[in-house]
Amino acid sequence: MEKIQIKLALTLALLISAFGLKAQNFDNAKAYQDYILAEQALVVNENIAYISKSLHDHKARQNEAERKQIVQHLEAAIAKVEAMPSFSGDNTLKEAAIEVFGLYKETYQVALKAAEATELSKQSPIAEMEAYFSLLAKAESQLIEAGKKFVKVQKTFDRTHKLAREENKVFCLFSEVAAVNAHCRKVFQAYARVSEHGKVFFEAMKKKQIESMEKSRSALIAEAETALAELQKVGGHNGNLEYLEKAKALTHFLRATAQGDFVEIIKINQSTQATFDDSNRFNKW
Amino acid sequence: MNYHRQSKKLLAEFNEASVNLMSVSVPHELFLPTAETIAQAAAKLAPVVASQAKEGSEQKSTLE
Repeated sequence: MEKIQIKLALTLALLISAFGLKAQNFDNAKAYQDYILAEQALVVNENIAYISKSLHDHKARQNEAERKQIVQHLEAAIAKVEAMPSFSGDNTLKEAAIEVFGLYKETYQVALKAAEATELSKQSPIAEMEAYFSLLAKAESQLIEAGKKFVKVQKTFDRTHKLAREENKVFCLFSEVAAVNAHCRKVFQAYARVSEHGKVFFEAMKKKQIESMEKSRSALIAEAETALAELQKVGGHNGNLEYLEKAKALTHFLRATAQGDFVEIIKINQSTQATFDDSNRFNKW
Repeated sequence: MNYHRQSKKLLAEFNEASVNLMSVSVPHELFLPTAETIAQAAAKLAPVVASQAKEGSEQKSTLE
């Protein structure tokens, strides 16, 4: 569905460019601004699609093709806006658009390229995942700062040319997506740090490494305490508490398991006299 | 309930909540204005372009 919308948006953008570039001048401030905003809407929509996907899908190769396509679209957008005339001698909006598209392009070529190079899997260590999230957060913040700059110039352009003030909806939408992503990352990371010790526990169990099992069990309980305290501070996102509550439920469950069943499992693995019942109980677990 | 079943259930709920959060915070319909914005801009530009094209063709016919 989103792909269809993007294709539709692209077709419409091509139509605009066909119309717009033939026009030697834009004698209406609103039409002039709408042309630039339409270009911005197109690139921001692609930003949203890419950023949302990056949070949930860490397959570098797939993302690389999309990222390169976005860079090409940004280059085309820059070329189109560069070809525009000034509006009654006012170049500010045009220059701001060129600058913001340039900053978007730089983000895609540097920060997001670096994030893409971190190919994650379920087996990736937590440090790699955190590094990936940190690169995404940095890129999102760069895209927001670039957008804010443009919105500021847009406001001045509105005032100068006596246009009715309109909110830059696409930029607001992108900011909201970035805020949701930041919330998801914070909550997910708190839970993932706890879960990481669970993974270590099971790996140690396979190898019958009792000491390592006990170490990871204690670490899991301590990390769960930290995570629950952190999650308590995070709060919901715009009143939505569901994701946070589910993370807390998982963390409570892991802590309770480490405090109860893990102790039993260690005992069974430690014992040289484990009974058939012990093994059976453990197998059904 | 055993550990694996319970952890699987909680994880599924956690993932579902993540999807719900995104759809609540960023309603799908909000993606639509992009195409609409572009269509509106195109519609507004069309008369400007059309009038310029008309002026151009008038100038051309005068020259001819």
